[in-house]
Amino acid sequence: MERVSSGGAMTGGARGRRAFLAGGLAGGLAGLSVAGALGPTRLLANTGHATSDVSCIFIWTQGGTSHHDTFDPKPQASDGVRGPLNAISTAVPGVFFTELCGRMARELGRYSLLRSWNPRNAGHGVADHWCMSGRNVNPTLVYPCVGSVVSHQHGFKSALPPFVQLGAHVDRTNNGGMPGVLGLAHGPFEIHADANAEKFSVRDITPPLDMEMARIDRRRTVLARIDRLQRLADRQPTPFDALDEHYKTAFTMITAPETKRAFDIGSEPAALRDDYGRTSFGQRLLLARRLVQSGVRFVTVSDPGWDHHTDCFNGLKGRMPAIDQAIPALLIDLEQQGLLDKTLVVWMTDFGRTPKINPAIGRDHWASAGFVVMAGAGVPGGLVLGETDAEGGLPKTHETFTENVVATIYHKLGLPLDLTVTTADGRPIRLIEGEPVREWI
Amino acid sequence: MDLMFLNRSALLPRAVGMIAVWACLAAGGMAADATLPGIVVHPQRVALDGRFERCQLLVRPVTPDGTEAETIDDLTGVARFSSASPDVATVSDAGVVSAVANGLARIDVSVGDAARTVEVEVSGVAGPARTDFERDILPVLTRAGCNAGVCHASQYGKGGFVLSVMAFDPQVDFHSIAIASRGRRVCPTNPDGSLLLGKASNSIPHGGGTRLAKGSADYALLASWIAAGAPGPSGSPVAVTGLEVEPAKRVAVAGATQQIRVVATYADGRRRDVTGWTRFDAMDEGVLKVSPAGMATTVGKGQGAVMARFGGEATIATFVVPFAAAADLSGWTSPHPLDAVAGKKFAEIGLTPSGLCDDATFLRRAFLDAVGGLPTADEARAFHASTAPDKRERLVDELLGLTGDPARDRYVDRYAAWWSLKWADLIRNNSAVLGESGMWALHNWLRESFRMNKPFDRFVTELITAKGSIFASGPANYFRIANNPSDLAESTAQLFLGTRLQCAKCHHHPYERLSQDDYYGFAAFFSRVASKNSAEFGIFGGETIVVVNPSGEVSHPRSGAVMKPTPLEGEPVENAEDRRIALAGWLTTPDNAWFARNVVNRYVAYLLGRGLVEPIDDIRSTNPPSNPAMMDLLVAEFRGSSFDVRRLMRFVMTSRLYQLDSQPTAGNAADERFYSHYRVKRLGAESLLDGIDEATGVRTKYPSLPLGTRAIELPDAAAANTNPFLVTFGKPKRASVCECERTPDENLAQALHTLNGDIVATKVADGSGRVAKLVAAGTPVAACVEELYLATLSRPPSALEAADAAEIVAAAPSPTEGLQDLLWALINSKHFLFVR
Repeated sequence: MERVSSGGAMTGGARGRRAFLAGGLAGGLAGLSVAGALGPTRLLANTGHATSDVSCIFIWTQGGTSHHDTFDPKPQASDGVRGPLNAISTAVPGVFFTELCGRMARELGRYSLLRSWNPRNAGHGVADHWCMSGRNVNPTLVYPCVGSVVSHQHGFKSALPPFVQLGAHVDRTNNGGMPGVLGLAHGPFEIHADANAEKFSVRDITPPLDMEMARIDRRRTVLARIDRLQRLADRQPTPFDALDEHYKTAFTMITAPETKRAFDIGSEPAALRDDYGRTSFGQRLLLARRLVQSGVRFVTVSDPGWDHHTDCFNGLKGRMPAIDQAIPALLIDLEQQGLLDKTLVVWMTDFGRTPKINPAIGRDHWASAGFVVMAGAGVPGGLVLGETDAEGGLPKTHETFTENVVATIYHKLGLPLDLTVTTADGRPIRLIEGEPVREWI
Repeated sequence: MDLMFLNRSALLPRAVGMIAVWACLAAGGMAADATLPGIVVHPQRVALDGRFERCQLLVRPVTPDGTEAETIDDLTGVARFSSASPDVATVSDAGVVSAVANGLARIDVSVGDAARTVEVEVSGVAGPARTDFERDILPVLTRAGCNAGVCHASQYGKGGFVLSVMAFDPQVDFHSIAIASRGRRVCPTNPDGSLLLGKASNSIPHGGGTRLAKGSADYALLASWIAAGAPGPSGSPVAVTGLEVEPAKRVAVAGATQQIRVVATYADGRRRDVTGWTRFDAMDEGVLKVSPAGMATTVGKGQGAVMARFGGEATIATFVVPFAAAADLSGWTSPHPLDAVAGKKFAEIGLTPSGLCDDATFLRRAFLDAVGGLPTADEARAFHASTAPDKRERLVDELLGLTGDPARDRYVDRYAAWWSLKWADLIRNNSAVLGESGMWALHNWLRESFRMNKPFDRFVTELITAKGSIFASGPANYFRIANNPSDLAESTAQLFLGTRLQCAKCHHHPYERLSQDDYYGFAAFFSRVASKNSAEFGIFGGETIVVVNPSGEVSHPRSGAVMKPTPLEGEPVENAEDRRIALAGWLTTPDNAWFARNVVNRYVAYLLGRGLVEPIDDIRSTNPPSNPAMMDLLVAEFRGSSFDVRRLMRFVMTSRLYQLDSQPTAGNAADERFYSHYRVKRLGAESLLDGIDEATGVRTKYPSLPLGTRAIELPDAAAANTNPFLVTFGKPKRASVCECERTPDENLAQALHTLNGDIVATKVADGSGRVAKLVAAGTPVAACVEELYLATLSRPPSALEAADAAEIVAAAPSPTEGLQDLLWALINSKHFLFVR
């Protein structure tokens, strides 16, 4: 559907799974009986172009996590701004967080913090789209989120889909986290099940109704037999070829040991699971690491409940500990697994919140200041960029926009900053504009 | 009729043979000289009025009388050009004549021994150069790509230099070039030192590379304008009123070249060769490519176009590269008029169509296309048992409710549900926007409209002139879904004209002649419609009433002028009572070609899998139908039936073209546009879920609707967000009026969902489902297998399939498990998942 180019020169067709599977995989479903015939290396070899080896774990706290009450406290501000939370010192002298970020404060050496993000937006929905794509909402065309661009450009690395979203907490009103012009095939593979649940299983990947593998194998044989009899000739309509490819990939995914392994969160040492925290968020983050390890290129980890218009401080006391526990655990774990250099970890949220505490003891949407956390893939740890004014209302130095943050993600993931796609109606679309954040490069 | 096809196709080998001879020439095979009877150069006389004027020459062979013009080869690329008077006019190797000084000149053109001369008259060169910002300078920048949307016409420009998209706003462009940044982009005392030229020629490092080579004619043109003090826009430019390309159509083999020449007509009647400032784009890169200078090369088989753009106008040159030298149409003897125009296209494009599909395939295809669902096992049995020779036509009439016998018109409700779903998607009926009551009111109006087969002009008129309570008047909700003149203009144009106006909101449409004037003139039809809330009015309270105000205007965003309500490319029309009545009158008048074309194109796409124009709601002069004659025929049919959609569908569905097999042949497998074989399409989300319900005998229960309600009957878009099956298969969320919201592509998540998902697995294994009932009734395995085939694929199994199924069931741990596995596999098979 779309052509892709970089630097103005057209370079061939879409690099979908279909495009690179088409190479050596003709012949219908007959080959299905050999489990795992499509090894991961085979898939990669067929891409015929170099791909970046950096994966991304993108954390999204939906609703707008208050920057005042986490990473940008203003202890000197008036009561109506400061709030009741105490400031604590961090691993970096002179930098203070609130008491809700104890572990993040101790582990600041492992990540970089941007305190001068200017989201230029105070709307939910718009935020999800903007932060995940680097583009403001445009009524006439939907820009793809980074995960979809990765899927489109880099394709599969293993039997697992290249782009996975954990949790349902992305606002889709403005196509946040969606593939837009790149087409549904590049949308996230969504897993809504609670990774912290006793019996965690993944819809459509884990066999239904506790079906045994033997029966799945039998069914696959039955399908291959029926398909062979339906086939009138070697040549078949093109969409049938596409279905064959999807079926092969699907069966590989269902039966590949790496799939089972990726989702077998129970096989992690209990101590490590405890370190991430036995919370939905903590286990989701651990699952994200397992997915990245198994070949997923981009994992969105979503977490709900951050729109604290009322009772902000109790709300944050409820939500923040899981995050404060899990993100440092992830960074430590990635380092110990030797994955940190090849894994970019980003934490973004809708926007900041109002300096003034409202009469309902809440903070409302704030369009011009907020924070971003970034780590791994060469991002220097312990680096705190920018500062806001005395009330945390406006960036004072190093003002950085959403497109700069997203351009940094593009850069780290090996996506050209001048990447251009042509829509079905022939309109050339440059996906991202804006320079990466220099200090993170 | 057959004879006519033969005549037409008999021409092709001759033309192709001729091309082969000239291709030898092109390759330097001068031995072929003797066969070249002579050459023709066009234009034969050239008049250049102005220092920077140019003219492209075209060279072709003298051909025997009767050769069709469009098959004639182009020799421009191999001809030799020389000027006998280079002090007056020069000529390039590519055949471009440039003015040098006033006077008369002779250009010699030769190909081998064949030679011709062209006379050139140059005037207007003496004295100071007369360069006009709008006429001369902006086209250079447009051609060089400076003001493309990805370069300086992007939102913030590039490097602080901002231009308007394709130069639609000369004032902005002039300010950026000559005034902004303290005028440092132009330097009249030293034009070569101007930033504009330094960047464009890349002598100062330029992110966009070299756009204008130093020493080129266009570089000199810009330098001359700068040296003259960079004069600004006159404010009253002579507008370009039309573009002509030569040739407008070319039939050739792959690998042929064709220089394109472009002539612009101005409002003062002047004609000017603008080839050198035209932007050329290949519209179908699989068929052809085109150089910036307008030299097209055919690269693959099929039909494609070169789009030529200059001065806000756009036109195309069509290229046809036949798939084969001749099509075998010996079996193509249908008396149906649609088949006649299809046959002519097959002959021209060299495609031999596939054979007719069998009855079982037709049955399933007709059901799914007409009423959006599968026949029951019993209906399938009855159809197969019938020996009536016209049983396909009878089935079409029954499905469309056109038998005239109420007892046989039993699918009217399913038809109404299916087409209400289609149009509710496009009109965007959604309780999240309209509330439950508004959503139901619109739904009921749609159902009623399709149940009674309301003529389409009346359907549209009722919709776009609706007013009153959104609870009582279904169509009034249209004005709540889009609720301002801009959105209403865009939706209405896209839905009922097939025209995408959106581009023209902010700038001149890049591929169309549509300007902001057109956009805001069209939006003015909706400037007086409004809604008001009433707490007291209506039994539900809090009701919204759509009203027409006595005043309200739309003004042009740049000039501020109040726009008169104006149809696209038409004259203003007014209606004192309600401007929308004037709009409806214009829309549905029988000579509004757009209206019928749009409906025809949509229904062709729904039935044949692809519109004559694609994307199907992007009809414009630069996006022509794949078969214009077929479009004209269907438009005439549709108008002739007073906009009766069911008759339009019957016309298509009873053609041989619609009944072709989907199995491609070696010769037509590459065809994706000309309907040489039926285009398979995946069942839509709703039809697929209904089909699975039907096949398994287990109905899906939808929230707050009675059990037994089909997915195609869902009135609202809510299930597109909540029902996992419908979400996965892409039920439209009704956020856009674009047909593209329903994506036809199959994807991995869908494959996983039917192969390994719990919805299909649970239904197959259901204790009161089809398999369980068959087994409980003690049905013999062979009969069970037949029943499962009929319930899924609408046909009995072949002997091989029956034997294979018996084996499968026998090998399973139990007959129940075996039959479940069989049903599961049938549901996951291509013959179930696709309309084919």
